[in-house]
Amino acid sequence: MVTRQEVLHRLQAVHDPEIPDLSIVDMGMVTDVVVTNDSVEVTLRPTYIGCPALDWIKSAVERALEPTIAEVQFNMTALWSTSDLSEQGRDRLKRFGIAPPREGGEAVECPHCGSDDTHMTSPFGSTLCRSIYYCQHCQVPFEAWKTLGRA
Amino acid sequence: MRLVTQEHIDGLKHLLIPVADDEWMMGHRGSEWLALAPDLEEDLALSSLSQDEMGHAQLFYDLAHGLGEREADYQVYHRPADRWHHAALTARPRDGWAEWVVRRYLYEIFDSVRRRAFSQIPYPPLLAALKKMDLEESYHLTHSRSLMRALAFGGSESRAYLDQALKTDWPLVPDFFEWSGPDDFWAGFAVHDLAPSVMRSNVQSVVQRDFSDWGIAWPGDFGPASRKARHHIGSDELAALLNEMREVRQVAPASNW
Repeated sequence: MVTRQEVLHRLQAVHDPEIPDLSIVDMGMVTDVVVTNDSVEVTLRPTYIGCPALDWIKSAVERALEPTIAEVQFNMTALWSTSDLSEQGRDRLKRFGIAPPREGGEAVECPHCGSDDTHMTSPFGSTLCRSIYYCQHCQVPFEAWKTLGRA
Repeated sequence: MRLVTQEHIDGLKHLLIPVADDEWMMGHRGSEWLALAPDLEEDLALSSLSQDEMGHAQLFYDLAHGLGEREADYQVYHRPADRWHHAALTARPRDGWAEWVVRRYLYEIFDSVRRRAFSQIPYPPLLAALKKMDLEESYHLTHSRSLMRALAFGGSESRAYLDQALKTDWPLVPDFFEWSGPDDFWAGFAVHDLAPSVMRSNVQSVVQRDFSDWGIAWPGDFGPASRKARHHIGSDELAALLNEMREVRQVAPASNW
């Protein structure tokens, strides 16, 4: 029988399809893992309700846990906020060239040069979870993870 | 709240389907602007906004399904045209860019007023859904206002486009406030803000304040809703929209969302 620890370890290999390296565990998407005799129930929450990657992520979870049979469900109304990203997740985002979110209106740090001299050019980026910024210091546009607070 | 009576359950369905349909139509029409928006940032924004709206629509259809309505897939891909209950403005065929900006703004204001009314219905699955949507929708409202300001302060040419768009959309706004169910069914929820007259005056006061900030002359109080608000029996326009929207599904019936 597979352990809960092992399931979480294997889910570290399931990535956001658009950000290689960032696992769904580090994104804070995994809210519950229940191991029973011969199967595992995994509950996930979406970052954004309309995220088009959900089906993809669901099958990736099932594949990652094979040969154990996984029952994957989404809790569509579970709240997710940017503070649910793990420290490791924030590092990985940065390494990929996407600035991790900052809480409370603090300036977003340019993932290329580390400068704080940046401003948002549009709250909407190339995916639901990103915004577009510009770095005055290295004069390069970049994307940042869109801040989503708790209501 | 325990939905003890069939009236409550039916009432909630009468509330949820029109909202889902509005969100779906705004998402669908918004997606038609992809690659046509005036700049790249706006193109990206439209893609996010439209995905949000379609996701929200799906969640509202799911809530209605939990109360016994047919599933989201049926609602979107198989439901006959005369069973759709969106407000006509949300599904108007694509017009000019200014018209889209005005339509989006009027809808977002209305939608935020409606969500506030909905959040007083003590039905836990609905409340949980609204809470998550609110986080995403706050970006919509801010963005809509910034586009309206750009039009209002963009000089005489953009102001002329704005005025024309207001003339086109204003008469269609009152249909937003109507529900599609039997007369006064919403009264069963004892939520004052669900009354069409209250939603109308709440929307009007927000828009009035914005217009005065932006120096836009008040076009006049909203008129009466159309006689068949939120009903589209025999509408060629809707038939054409549904045909186009369902084209891929008809070619590939096994394709998913």
